Amino acid sequence: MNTQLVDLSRLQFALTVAFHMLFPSITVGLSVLLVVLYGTYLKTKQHIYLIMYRFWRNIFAVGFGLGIVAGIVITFEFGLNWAGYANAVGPIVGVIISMEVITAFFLEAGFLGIMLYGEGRVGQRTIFVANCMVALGTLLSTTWILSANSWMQTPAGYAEINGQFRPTNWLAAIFNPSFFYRYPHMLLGVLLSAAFLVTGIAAWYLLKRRHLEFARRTFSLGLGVIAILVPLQLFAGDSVAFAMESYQPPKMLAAEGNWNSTNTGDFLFIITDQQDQRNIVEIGVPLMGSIIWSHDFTFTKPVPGLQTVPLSLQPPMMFVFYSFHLMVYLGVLMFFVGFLSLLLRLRGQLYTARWFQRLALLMTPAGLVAIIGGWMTAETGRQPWVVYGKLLTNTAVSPLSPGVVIASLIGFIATYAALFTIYIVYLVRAVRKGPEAVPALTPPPEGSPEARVPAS
Amino acid sequence: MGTPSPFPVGPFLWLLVAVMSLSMYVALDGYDLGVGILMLTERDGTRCKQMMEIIASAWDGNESWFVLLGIALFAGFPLAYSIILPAFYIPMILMLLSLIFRGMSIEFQLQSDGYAQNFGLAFSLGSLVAAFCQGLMIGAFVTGIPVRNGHFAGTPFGFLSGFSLLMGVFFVFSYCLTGASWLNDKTEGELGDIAKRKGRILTPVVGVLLVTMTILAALVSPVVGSRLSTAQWLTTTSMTLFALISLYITWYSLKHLGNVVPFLFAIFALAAPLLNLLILNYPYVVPRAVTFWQAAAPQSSVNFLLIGVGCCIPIVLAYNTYAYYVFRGKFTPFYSHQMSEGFIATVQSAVERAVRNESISDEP
Repeated sequence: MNTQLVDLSRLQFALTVAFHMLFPSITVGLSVLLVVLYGTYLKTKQHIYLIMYRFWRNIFAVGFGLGIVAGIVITFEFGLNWAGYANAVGPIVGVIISMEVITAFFLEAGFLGIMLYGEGRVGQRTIFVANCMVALGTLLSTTWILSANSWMQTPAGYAEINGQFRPTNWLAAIFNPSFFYRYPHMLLGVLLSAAFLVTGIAAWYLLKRRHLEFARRTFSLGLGVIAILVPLQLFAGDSVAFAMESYQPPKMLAAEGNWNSTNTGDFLFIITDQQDQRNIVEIGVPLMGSIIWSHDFTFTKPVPGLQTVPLSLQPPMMFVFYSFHLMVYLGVLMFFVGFLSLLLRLRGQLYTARWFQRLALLMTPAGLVAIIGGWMTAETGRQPWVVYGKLLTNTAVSPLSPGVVIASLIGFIATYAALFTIYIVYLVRAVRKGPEAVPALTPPPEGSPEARVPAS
Repeated sequence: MGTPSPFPVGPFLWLLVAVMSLSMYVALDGYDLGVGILMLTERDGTRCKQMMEIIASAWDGNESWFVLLGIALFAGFPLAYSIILPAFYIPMILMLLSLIFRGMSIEFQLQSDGYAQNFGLAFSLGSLVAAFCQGLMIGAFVTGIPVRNGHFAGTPFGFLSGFSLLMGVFFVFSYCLTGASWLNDKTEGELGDIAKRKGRILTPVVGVLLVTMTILAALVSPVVGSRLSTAQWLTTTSMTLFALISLYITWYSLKHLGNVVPFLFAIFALAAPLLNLLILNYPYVVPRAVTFWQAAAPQSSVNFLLIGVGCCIPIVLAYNTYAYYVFRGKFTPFYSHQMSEGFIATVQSAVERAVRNESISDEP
């Protein structure tokens, strides 16, 4: 078929969806953090929490705005580039995403204005409620989107009529088998990526010895979240991998990097030749594969190979292997950060160990990169299917001329490159300026802390 | 095309949801796009910044209706969605890219000190292209979409025609009018006077475009064919008359009233001819190839949508109304240089004092 068109359309979708993903990955966690900070401020009336709140709120605002406009693109790309897919899955995936739009997207956008610009117009409690609604919206959004995507991984509750998937059991379709494994994994992922971002910025302030009050509280809070959530995430991630081994064998076979089924080791590095169905180079740890992939502690169970799947139905191994391992290695690193933070906390050195602050600074984008790696594994590992086992990606593409898609792809690359650069510049500037010079979004209201400094 | 019996009630109701989303979008995002376009005619940076601040709290909420429209088609009329979007590939992509530039520039603008000219220009150009592309697509919808075996069978530039270009222009001017009326409602003094003046200049232009495009639509529409039926005559003339009367009220009230009235009637003047176009094309969702019942998702999907999404719509409308209520009345300008600098200084000294207090109280 028209491989060129399919490849271009896939590249464009991958680029736009990965770019979009960067923003929710930060803003879901940040919206929860904002609820905590504002709630604490309302309760304790300590001004430092308001400063923390405003600083993260402004970073959240820009990330959220960009997430919205980049997300709108995705809504329409289903039809623009994947007309066959849209017509086939609209009755199920479209309906699930409709629920996302009406329960989450509107909730976020509706209350965002009040949350950001409501100071002085409504009371603090209302702002807090608006903030909670925005956070609720982001969490609901994650839920529905994971349900829709999981349906594409493990379709359920449908009948196939005239090439269209028609719902027969809504509960089975929405709460499809892989949803229960993938949802907690993603939820923890977005919370962690925000935690690493926040912690990294606080680490920078600690290293520069600036805004110490702000930095210490943020650093401590972020690392606390990391120390609790990373172990849970390792467990959740392992359960996803284990579940996908039975639901979607080719994906995990590719992630393991084996071709034939005799090896019990775990590969760390491979160079593959997909046509010849072999690895040109492979470096691994002997016997570890049995434990990791089969939870077998007798070291005898071999890791199955991708050769069990016909060549035409195999995902590209190199790609899946490395995106998967990128996520896993980052996960292990994150675990060490959490573990070390606990040790340092116990020894009272959390704010003084400068090597650790440097490490935390380096880890700022770790969560984001891990999420992108995970999604690349999920989406590329499902190939050549768009709905696993049911609908091939190359039959789902829109009848467009490749030239048009090249043009739009160039448009997206240029726009997103510009946008990404400006966003990073903004972020660096906002951090340099510091939490005490946050531009206010509203005039100082009467009787607010600006007008009247707390007496204590 | 004979209507099936029994009448497909579910899909029809869902069609109404889609039409409502479109109308809400045009009414709400229309004014903030219009404000963006009007910035091209404004030289003063402080005023431009104010114009962006006025729409800051609502633009993303307004855009939600467009997302709802898209997803309503994807879920409820997947066949139509899978034909219309490839057919409008180029204007759609241009519009999406423009919306991205707009969203980016308004967020960065609001957090920069003073008025950042680049973000202002990106915002207005983004608004202009987005508005024009929306008109193009509505125009291309009316002129019909070639379909073979349930797939789009046209060319990439098939959306271009004299009529679609005219619709693009109509949308740009109509959005400017609603934008000017919105500014008239939200501002006083100089900015309010400018909005009034521009609005009154725009009104007759919109009137001429409106009548021209309505007449041309009847001539180019493949659904209407050689002549209008009596029902089509009645709707077209009554809708157009209604729109013209609304325009007159906008024009008149812009001179005298600084409230929401001119805006409301400007909305009617845009929504009425738009609805007229959709009614002329009834029952087609892809003129003149696919009717709404042919494109409809199976009953189980439509029922789920009507219950799940349908029940949420009143709630969504309620809190959106509340959000508008919070920001009712005149906008208080804030970002003029002196004020914001003075304010930041106040905050800084307050913060310093607070932090000093904190660190003292933290000592054991």
